[in-house]
Amino acid sequence: MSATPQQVRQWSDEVAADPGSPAFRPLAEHYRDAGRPDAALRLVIRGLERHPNDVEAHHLLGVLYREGGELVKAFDEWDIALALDAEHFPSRRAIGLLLAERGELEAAERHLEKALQGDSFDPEIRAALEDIHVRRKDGRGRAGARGRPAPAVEEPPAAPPESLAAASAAPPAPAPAEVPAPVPAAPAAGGEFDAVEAELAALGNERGIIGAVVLDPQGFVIAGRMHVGDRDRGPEIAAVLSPSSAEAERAVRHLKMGGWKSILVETADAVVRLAPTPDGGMVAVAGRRDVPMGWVLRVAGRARDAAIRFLRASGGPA
Amino acid sequence: MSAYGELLDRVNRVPGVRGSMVVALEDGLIVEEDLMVGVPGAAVAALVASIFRRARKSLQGADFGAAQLVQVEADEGLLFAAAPPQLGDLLLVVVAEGWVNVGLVRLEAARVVEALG
Amino acid sequence: MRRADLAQFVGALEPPVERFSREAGLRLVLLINESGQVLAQRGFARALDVMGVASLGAGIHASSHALAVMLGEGGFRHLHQGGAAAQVFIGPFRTPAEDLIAIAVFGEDSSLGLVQVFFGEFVREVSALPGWSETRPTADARLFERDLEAGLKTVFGGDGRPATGA
Repeated sequence: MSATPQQVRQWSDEVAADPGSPAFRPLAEHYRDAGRPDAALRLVIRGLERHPNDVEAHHLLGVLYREGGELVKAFDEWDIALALDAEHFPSRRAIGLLLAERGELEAAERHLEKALQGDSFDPEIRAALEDIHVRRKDGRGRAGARGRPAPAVEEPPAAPPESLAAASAAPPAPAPAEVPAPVPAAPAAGGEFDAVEAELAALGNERGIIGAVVLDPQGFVIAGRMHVGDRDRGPEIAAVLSPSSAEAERAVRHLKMGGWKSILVETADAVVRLAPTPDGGMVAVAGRRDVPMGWVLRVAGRARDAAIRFLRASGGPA
Repeated sequence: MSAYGELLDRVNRVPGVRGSMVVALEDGLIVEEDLMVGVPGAAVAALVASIFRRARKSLQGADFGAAQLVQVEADEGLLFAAAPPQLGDLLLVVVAEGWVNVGLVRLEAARVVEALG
Repeated sequence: MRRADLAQFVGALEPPVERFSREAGLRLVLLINESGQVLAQRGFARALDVMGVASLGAGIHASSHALAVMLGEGGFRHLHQGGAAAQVFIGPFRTPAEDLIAIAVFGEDSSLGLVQVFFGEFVREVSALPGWSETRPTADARLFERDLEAGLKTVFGGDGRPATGA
């Protein structure tokens, strides 16, 4: 953050009164930020005359040399900083990135892996390591640390405003996971609603199943029941479960994993599976833990198929 | 290697796993991580912890009990979060390819978590 | 920021502020400059003295920045205070045009981790906005340069210009 004029005056006064004052460093950084590298260099060099073991000053001098195009001098300063303090991660980072630029991949990788310990979220270090691994793939140097394939989920880049606006303006579009099964023989009762109610009721009566409900995008129950205790708690359960789909949608969108296909939640007593429907709603199926998980998931798949058929038949999106 | 480090290392050996973390449930902050380069750990931790908290609140409200495990399957991968009692208020979070054998992941996690207890 | 600049650039801040608020599940977010001037806001502000919050936030940031400098840091990445029902996140960041501070209030619908993640996105978005992605020339440039030269004169004496070659 930029220094206030008062701070600059204070530092200047301190350094003028005592050239050995440690204020030379923030003052030099201020001049660097203000586009006066010449002044910053002079301050740091003078400061180092009195504080030759100041690791941060050596690092800053390296940065100034780097920005001035004097790469050899920059390397030397960071090397000195690391000799003084092997755990000085900014210098480790800087020297690693410089070595990577020079093509000294093994040395660069060593420094950058260590620098990652100082800040595992550093995107530049990660990108440089990724680049080293890619450059190694063509046969140069040793294999990567774990030999894993390139990841599909990448660090989200700094997207331009238009794409961020587009991403957040687009409605949630969870993709159906599979094609629905062929339409079974219709139950005796007429109408799409009666049909889906009958199917969901039948699924709810399967062994170990607590219930199945179809929800619209606002979280209202379209069809189905979920009996907990002695009453249908479908509407309440729908209301509390609905936000989970919004959370899942946000997560997979932000992590660039496509659309969400299902959410599975387990407690000690129950398993609940949520799956999206094409209209932006979802199907929720709950089962007890005393039946195999695979069975509950199979019933959940059938409930989703029934929901999709119902939505198609009632004029909704397919 | 720390106790959590060993947990993560065992889980990460399952083919298809792209990384795992121990995450503070309430803050969504990483306690320990072991991730492939390129996996956005901070974002995964925060987002998955939020999903877990929401699921826990939802299921308690529905009288289904306390959530122990949440799994989100997406078009291009899988997110998994478990809250075994041995981890206290921490979560084990796993990021994996869509084809991962979830059963194996759960088995490895359960083995090491039991050893932690 | 000068009054003449305000209307031109502040409108552009509303969409990223709205997105940050929504994605991170915030109750309230204020975007202020270092003087405590509110540039954008979003959320449940009626129960709060927004100007008071902004002034306090700017003051907290100034104090913590001074502390960070004393500790040899350039500044803290963010500050966080957790209460029983609400938490506060103060995130300073630099745009080419001006240094800004986001003050975010959140409850159990969010978390520090979420706020940090979406704050990072918010910063990238604001820094790329027209009017914020480049240094804004103002009439104060001469004053700024004058202060720089005065500082150098104080340190090195003479005309303040460093000798050629370091």
